[in-house]
Amino acid sequence: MATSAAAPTTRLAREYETIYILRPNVDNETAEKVVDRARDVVKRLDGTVTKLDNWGRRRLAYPIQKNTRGIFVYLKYVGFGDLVAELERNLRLLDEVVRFQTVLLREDIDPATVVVDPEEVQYLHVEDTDEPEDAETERARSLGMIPRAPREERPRVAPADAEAASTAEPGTASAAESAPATEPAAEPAPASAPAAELAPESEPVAEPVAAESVGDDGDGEKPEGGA
Amino acid sequence: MEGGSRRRTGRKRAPAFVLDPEFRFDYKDPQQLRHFITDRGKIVPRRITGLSAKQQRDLTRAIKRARNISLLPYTATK
Repeated sequence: MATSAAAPTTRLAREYETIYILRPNVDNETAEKVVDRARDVVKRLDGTVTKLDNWGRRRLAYPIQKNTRGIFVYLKYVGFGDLVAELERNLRLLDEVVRFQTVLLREDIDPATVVVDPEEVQYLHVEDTDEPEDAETERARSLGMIPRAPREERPRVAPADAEAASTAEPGTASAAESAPATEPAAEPAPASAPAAELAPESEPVAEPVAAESVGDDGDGEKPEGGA
Repeated sequence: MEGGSRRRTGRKRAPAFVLDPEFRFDYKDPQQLRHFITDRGKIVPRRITGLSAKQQRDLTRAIKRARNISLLPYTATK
């Protein structure tokens, strides 16, 4: 639908903003291609991009397609009614885009009055700064210190380990494994394996180490279990 | 019924910046919205936040948009 400039009544445009999230492992060229594609769509449908902002890699509040981080791109544009559907259709087709959301900001905008600052519509790459956070959790996870659900079973496992270790050293491994076997939940089995490995080493050292590293919940219980 | 009125509003009074008439909740600002969700990620009810009805509606809309875009969690179990 072309805007007829000769007509006295110009169609009124609307201002939208779209945020889309890319997978964190895309390289800069791919990200730029997505931006260009979005820009082309806007231009093709007689719209104008007024602002483009790259928020860079951010942590997601929940994993999307197994990723915990994503590249956020913010796009503000003015266009007519058919623009959003077409833009979203294009974003949906791209594999790199995992999420998008469009919000209507304003209506009744005369498209002729839209001023675009070329500075604001540049796509700038943002360097990745936030890595160490994930590295720590990854390392902790690899040490078997943060299993998800089994964490809650740990307070129950710890007293059993303390008892088993205090009774007899050689019997510790079997006792620790048999005690969680009587537990109704199936989860403690993997959780008790690292705990059982720690326990035979040295009982007073192992329990506080395991307790402190696991951390948040059950804080009141674990020192008592270790002591 | 009386038990409900004992714990009145004021537990988590709305922060001062809400009083500005120009203020609008922005779904793009999760830090600002964090005041209004519980530690489990649930939206705090109006009788606690002390917001007006319209403000609470705008807040809820902003929170839900932010959740959609993964700026806020739907649920945060630790």
